[in-house]
Parts: sequence; structure tokens; C-alpha cells
Amino acid sequence: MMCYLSELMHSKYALYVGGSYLTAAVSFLWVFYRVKSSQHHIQLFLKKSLQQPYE
Amino acid sequence: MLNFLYAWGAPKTFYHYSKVLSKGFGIVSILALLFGWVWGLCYSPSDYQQGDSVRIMYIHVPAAFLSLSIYAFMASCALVTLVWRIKIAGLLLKSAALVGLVMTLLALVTGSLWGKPTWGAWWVWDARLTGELILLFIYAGLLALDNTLGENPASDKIVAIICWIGLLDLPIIHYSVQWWNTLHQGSSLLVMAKPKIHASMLYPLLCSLLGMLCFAGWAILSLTQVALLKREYRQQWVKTLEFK
Amino acid sequence: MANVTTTPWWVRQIQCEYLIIKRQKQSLVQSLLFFLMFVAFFPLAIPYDPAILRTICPGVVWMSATLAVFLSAERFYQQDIEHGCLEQWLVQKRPLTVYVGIKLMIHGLLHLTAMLLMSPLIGLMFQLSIWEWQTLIASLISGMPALVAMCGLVSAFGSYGQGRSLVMILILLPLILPVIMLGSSSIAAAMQGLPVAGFLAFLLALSLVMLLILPYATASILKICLQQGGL
Repeated sequence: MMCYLSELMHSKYALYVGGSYLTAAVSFLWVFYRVKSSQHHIQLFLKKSLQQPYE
Repeated sequence: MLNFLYAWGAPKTFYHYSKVLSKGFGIVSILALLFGWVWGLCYSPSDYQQGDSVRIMYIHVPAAFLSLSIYAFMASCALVTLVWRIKIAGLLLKSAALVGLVMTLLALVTGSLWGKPTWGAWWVWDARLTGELILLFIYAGLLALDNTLGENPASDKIVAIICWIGLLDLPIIHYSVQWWNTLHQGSSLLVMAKPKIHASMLYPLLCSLLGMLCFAGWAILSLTQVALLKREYRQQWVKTLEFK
Repeated sequence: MANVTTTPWWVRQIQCEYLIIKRQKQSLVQSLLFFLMFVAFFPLAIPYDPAILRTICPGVVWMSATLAVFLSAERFYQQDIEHGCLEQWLVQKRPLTVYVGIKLMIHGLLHLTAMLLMSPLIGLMFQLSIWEWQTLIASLISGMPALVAMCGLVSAFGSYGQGRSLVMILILLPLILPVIMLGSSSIAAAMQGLPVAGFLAFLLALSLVMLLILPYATASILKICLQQGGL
């Protein structure tokens, strides 16, 4: 399969295509960040609740 | 077999099963996304009419498809919550709303970026674009409702009811927007023609679709696990969990 | 006053709702004033051009109508919940759907009457012809049930707390969009001389469907609120 990357970079669509792939990557990374941070928060929360056994 | 299905409704078994499943989703999604996007960006041919901008299709089409199918998933979770009173379905519903919102936003943004070089405008009041915008508002409203109702256990049922009303309303919205559009737009051909797609474009598209689907599955399951732990933190099985 | 033993409970409920509104006119009057003012301020807020005014008239009227009905519907159930009437209703095992339906009916009819009384003024402000004004009236009549049913639904989950109005309107607007679109398209079609019967028929159908489904959904939400004892 030939690589079209050099053609793409010189075409007039380069910015738009690059922009949309960048947006996709950013949004997926943001979802990833949300998931990881909520997992981190719940770990902190559970550790704290383990230290207070009587509630 | 039925016991296996019932186990998915119980918090403890759901947690352990979904950990395995989400790990699988995660691995498949990373591989499929990298493979599909690199293939689509660099190695697939450009379109005869639309030039290189057709590469945006590999993101836009799966995102739009996912935005609708995640809503369908939410509606089925809502049905399970309301009819069978399974709490986990309510948690799945709320996690799916966030992922669906991101997908809809992505579809709208990439649609605009695709539209600018091909049609010359960032935004047109096309039937499909407007319908997608309304879907975005519905997702945002559901998330806002969930946020406002907070940790209340009844919030599951209320969000489920509103989700179902939204589902029943979606075909009506779709058709009325289409009608409105044909009345006011005339016959400008803005619909992207969908001829039979060539194999060299089909396979990266399918790969990207699989990757996005698995990513959505991973995100929804992970968020649901966190919500489940938050709700069940007093239970014995949570206390015995080990965290890395 | 109704004879408690001979008139059926739902008739008495209708009379009761009517009396409540008659004695506490402020929510109705205020929402009406809002409707009139909001519509009247559009010609003031945009550069004066009769052609532009005629073009935007359908949309402006319908958006104002939606907002006016929503603003007065925000407190639909609040009084009844605070006074415990809703709980009594459930204790007597009466169907909550009927309660919601009666409330929607009374409020819808009174709002509709008031808005129809305002419609000649709107016709004057936007220089509508008689046929367009008639279409305006017909579209308001056909669309009001849907509007009031949806507003009743979204106000159900704000019945307990304060400061829920923003969430209510965020959910209301996307769902009520077809009604707004059809209502304003019918008036716009009348302005262009096109037949309006199709729009009005669709609007009536939507109203019927929403009247069938939404009171049931509203009743479930209210029941959940009451069982929780607060939300």
C-alpha cells in the first residue's frame, strides 16, 4: 500500500484533516483522563473509609 | 447460562466480570484505533470528488454512529432500570450519557471541519446536522439532570424516565427537522452521497468503528465500576478489594 | 360548592384546581404579561424593518409561548406537595395520572384563553393579516396540550427543591422542539400562502400523543418524589 501522507500534507485539506484527527485524539484523551481521575478519587475515598470502620 | 446472565445484575459479580471485560475492551480499542486511524490517515486513497478531506470520514462516521447507538444503549438500560429495577442498569445509563455526549460533540466538530472545505461553510442547518445538535442538547440535559439530582437513589429512575421520553421523541424530532429543512432549504444537495464504498476505504472505517466502539465500552464500564463502588462502599466485598 | 357525596371526585378536583387559579391569579397573569412583553420587545430590540418583523413573527411568538407556559408551570405541584394534598391523593389510592391530567387540562385551558385574548395585540404588532392571525390562533390551540404536558413533566422533578429551573428548561427545550417548529412553520406557511392544514394536523397529532404518554410519566416521577420524601 502506498503512503499518501506526503500528498496529504501538501493538499489544501491538510489543516482540516489534521484538525479533526487532533480533536478526536484530544476528546478520547479527555475521556481517558476522566475515567482515570474518577478511579483515583474512588481509591482515595475507599482507603479513607477503610480507616474509619465504624460509620 | 441464565445464572450467568443474572450474575451481571448483582453488584459484586458485575464488578468482577466487568473488570475483565473492560480490560479486553481497552486492549482491543487501543490496537484498533491506532491501526485504523493510521491506516485511514496515511495509507488509504483519497476520494475522487472530495479529495483528501474524505479522511475525516474515518472519525466522523463512527462518532455519529456511536452517538446514536449509545443513546439506544441508554434507552435499553433505562428500560431495564424501570421494569426490572436493576440498579446497575441505572449506573450504566449515567456513565453512557457522558461518553455519548463526547461522541456527539466529536461528530459535530468533525462534521464542521469536513463541511468547511467541501461545502464552504462551517455550519449549515442541514437536517442531519440539526438533528445531531438536538441530540447533543438532549445528552447535555440528561447529564445536567443527573448532576442536579446528585446521589439520591431515586435519581436512577427519574433519569431513566426522561431518557425514555427522549427516545420516544427522537423520531418525531428527526422527521420534523427533516420536514422543516426541505421546506426552507429547497433542493441544495448537501447529503453526502453514499455509493458503494471501496474496500480500501471500508476496512479502515470498520477498524476505526471497532476501535471507537471498544473505547466507548471501556469508558462506560470503567465509569460504572467507579459509580458502583461509590454506592456500595459499605459492603463487605468492597472492603476486601485490593487496589494497586 | 360541590356536594361531596354526589359529585364524583374528579369533578371536584377540576373545580378545586379552577378555584385555586381563580384565587391566586398571579402566576397566570404574570406569565401572560411575560408572554406579551417578550413578544413586544423583539420589534424594539432589532432594527426596525417590517419585512424582518413579519419573517421572525412565528418563531418569536412560539418561543415566547413556550417560555411563558414553562415559567408558570415551574410551581405546578409545589403547593400541593407542601400542603400534603398529593400524599392524601395517593393514600386514597386515586390514580395520580388523573391528577396530572386534570391539572394540565385546567392550566392549559386557562393559559390558552389568556393567550388567545392577547393574539389581536400580537397581530397588530407584527402586522399580520386576518388569515395569518387565524392560523396563529389555530396553531396555539393545537400545540398548547403538547406544550403544557411537557412543561408538566419537567416541573415534576423540580417540585421539591429550589433552583431547578435551569435544568428543567434544559430538558424541556430539545424535547419540545418539534412542537415549536411545527407551530411556527404553520404561521410561516400562512404568510406565504401555502396550505396550513398539514402542519396543524401534525401538531394536533403530537398533542394527542403527548397527552397520552406524558401524564403517565409525570405521575411516576411524582410518585418517586413522594416516596423519597424529598429529592
